[in-house]
Amino acid sequence: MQNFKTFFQISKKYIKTCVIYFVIFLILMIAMTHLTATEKTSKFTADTVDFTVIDKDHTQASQALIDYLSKKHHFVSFDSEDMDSIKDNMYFQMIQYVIMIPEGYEEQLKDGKYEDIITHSMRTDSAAGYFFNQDIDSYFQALSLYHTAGTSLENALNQTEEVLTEIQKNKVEVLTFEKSNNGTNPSGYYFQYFAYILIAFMLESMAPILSAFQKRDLAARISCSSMRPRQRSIGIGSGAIAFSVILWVLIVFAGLITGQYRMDTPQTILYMAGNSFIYLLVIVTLTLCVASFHLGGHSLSLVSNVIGLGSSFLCGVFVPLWLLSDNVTQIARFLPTYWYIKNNNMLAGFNGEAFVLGNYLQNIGLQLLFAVTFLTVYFVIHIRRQLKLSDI
Amino acid sequence: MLRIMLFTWKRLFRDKTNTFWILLFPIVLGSLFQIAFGNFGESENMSVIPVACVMEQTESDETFTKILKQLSSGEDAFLRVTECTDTQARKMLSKKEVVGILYSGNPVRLSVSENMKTQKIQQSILKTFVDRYNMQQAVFYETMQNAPQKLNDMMQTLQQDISYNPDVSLSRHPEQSPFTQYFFNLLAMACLFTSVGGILVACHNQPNLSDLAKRVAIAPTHKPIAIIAELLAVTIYEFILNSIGFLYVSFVLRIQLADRMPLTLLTMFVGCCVGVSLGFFIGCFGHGEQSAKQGTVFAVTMPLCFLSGLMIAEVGIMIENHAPIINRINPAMLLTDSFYRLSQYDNLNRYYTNMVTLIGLTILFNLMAFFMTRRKTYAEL
Repeated sequence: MQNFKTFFQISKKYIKTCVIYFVIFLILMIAMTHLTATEKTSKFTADTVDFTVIDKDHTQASQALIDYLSKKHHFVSFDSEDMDSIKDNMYFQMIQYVIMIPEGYEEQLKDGKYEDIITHSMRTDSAAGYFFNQDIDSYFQALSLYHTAGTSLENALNQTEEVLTEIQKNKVEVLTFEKSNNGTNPSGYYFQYFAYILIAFMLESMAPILSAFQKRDLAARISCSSMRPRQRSIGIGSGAIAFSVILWVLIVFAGLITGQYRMDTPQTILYMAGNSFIYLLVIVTLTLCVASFHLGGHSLSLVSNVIGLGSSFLCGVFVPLWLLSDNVTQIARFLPTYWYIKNNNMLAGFNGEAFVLGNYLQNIGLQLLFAVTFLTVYFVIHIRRQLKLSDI
Repeated sequence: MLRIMLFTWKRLFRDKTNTFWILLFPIVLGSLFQIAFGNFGESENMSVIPVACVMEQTESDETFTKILKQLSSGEDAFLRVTECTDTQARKMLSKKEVVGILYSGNPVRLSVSENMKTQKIQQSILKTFVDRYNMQQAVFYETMQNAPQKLNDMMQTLQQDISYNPDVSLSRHPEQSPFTQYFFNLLAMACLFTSVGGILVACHNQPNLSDLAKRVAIAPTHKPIAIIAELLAVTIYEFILNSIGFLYVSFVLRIQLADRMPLTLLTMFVGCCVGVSLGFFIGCFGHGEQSAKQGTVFAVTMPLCFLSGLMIAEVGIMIENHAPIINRINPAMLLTDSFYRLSQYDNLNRYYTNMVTLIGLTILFNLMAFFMTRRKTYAEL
């Protein structure tokens, strides 16, 4: 109990830093949630591609092409002189496709010269450009077919648009086999980013408090008391858990105040909160282990970033889990964040997977196993250190 | 001045844990990025799409079967077709054995599962295929009614293998993965984390914060010279450590950064300068303890890195499109953008503007910090 009290006495010294971290990380978490939650759609739609056109022809024919593509995809307007801006937006994924319509495009169409009639530039890594290519090819194929059938260019343009618009009316049937969340609610993203924020916050704010116990004088004073090593470790560990539970309550409450749960059922939120609570225990035990190494402030920042950012990129916090290759997910299985994100994906419906209580509990169990492992490491390090001190 | 630099280096080198982690930070995180993004999008590739096909006993079944056969045979097949009844097809779709169900007829219809959101790209490819097939069917049907004598010509047009829309890349390295930007962000973050070195310099010159500062304060050395020497020593030290990380990222992880090596190293050096001076500036604020100041530095640099797109790649360009002024003064974004310009552009005007801004920020931070440290006296220590 004495160590438990000492923990909070020391934490008072760090309260200002903790508050700064809490406010900054909370703002980051809400900003990330807001940025990602607004992009998605719930039902199946053929992926729309963000594209732009550099039109040097400015004719009825070139406008007809732009109009047709804009109906199906999202046209992003740029000043066509500003090539740097177009390049930057394509590199940073704001647009995926650039069409360049040369001067004399309409004349070429009239002459029936369809080969290399326009050019494009697209991101090589994504399949989105592939079906955009298919759409353009369909357009020119329809146009060339009408042209071959003896239709004038003006009529061919109109007929092509009509036939392609008619085809779009043939909607895709979406079948639902298992009821899942629609994958667009902000709560899913809020708890997804919780995984990174928690590691960064705990290692940055709680680890220095725990490290204070490793300072020679304080450690020596504690070690000469009548308490058993195990009791001392339990005291510090309980303090850390109480500290982190307060933090967890604040984060969950902040989500409620900022309206992150407005679109979900209370049951889903309870499951998400439960998952995050178990993850919290894992990170507390991880922090206890890291703090046992008595790292300085700078080293601790670097270590927290390596653990926080590294595990977040590997386990699907910043990029969807299903986009990572199989090899990466095989490695990620050895990290607790992976099992936390798996549960969160299932609850939020990010991958269309339905909620299965058995799977949820299994993932919770695996997280608890990590917590037990970290706790064992902590006890071993702590008890060995206590014994070493008692030898002095 | 050289003597002070030498002692600073000695002191920094003796702090083995910090040296070890500064050195290891870009190496470990870079390796983890490489693992995560090395085969990124592998699941998004356009490999064979399994699909179920239900024949609805219509006139066009024969043509449709022929086309499906063509698309599912050979080395570059893109479909794997299973012909079955509607019930079987739905069962296969529910078990996620196929990506979609194709129903023959005029028009051909497509069904997909809502529970297979991870296969959205493949579903979209199927939809594009169905649309194209329906378009051809509709155009031929229309021509058959209006100008049947043209059908043969149209058939010939359809069989021609014409490229309408060739690819002309706009970038300097079109083959470069867009995930390279995370490595640019990482290097920018490593540069900004040198601000902790600046905090050390500030604390070593505030006698109320360290014993070393007390000794320095009573030494006869001219104070600005001592501080400049210490700042320079810290910057060089951190630059060397970060450069090792950069070389690892370039040559071991083979991230394309090295083709303008001198300019890239210059960017790293300027990045370390701005990092150290930012830390020095924050360190000179108030009388807080070193750990609290280190915490403040981290609390400042992390949001800057977030705004440059470290966690969500699109953030940087979104700010560029809506509030570019933020990108012009955010050191993390200026550094990330400089690495990006070096890698993707032949014209380096913007790169030089970034460098000038970073040097300007370095001078500004240092001047403000010097202004705060001057004429400080202590009645009692």
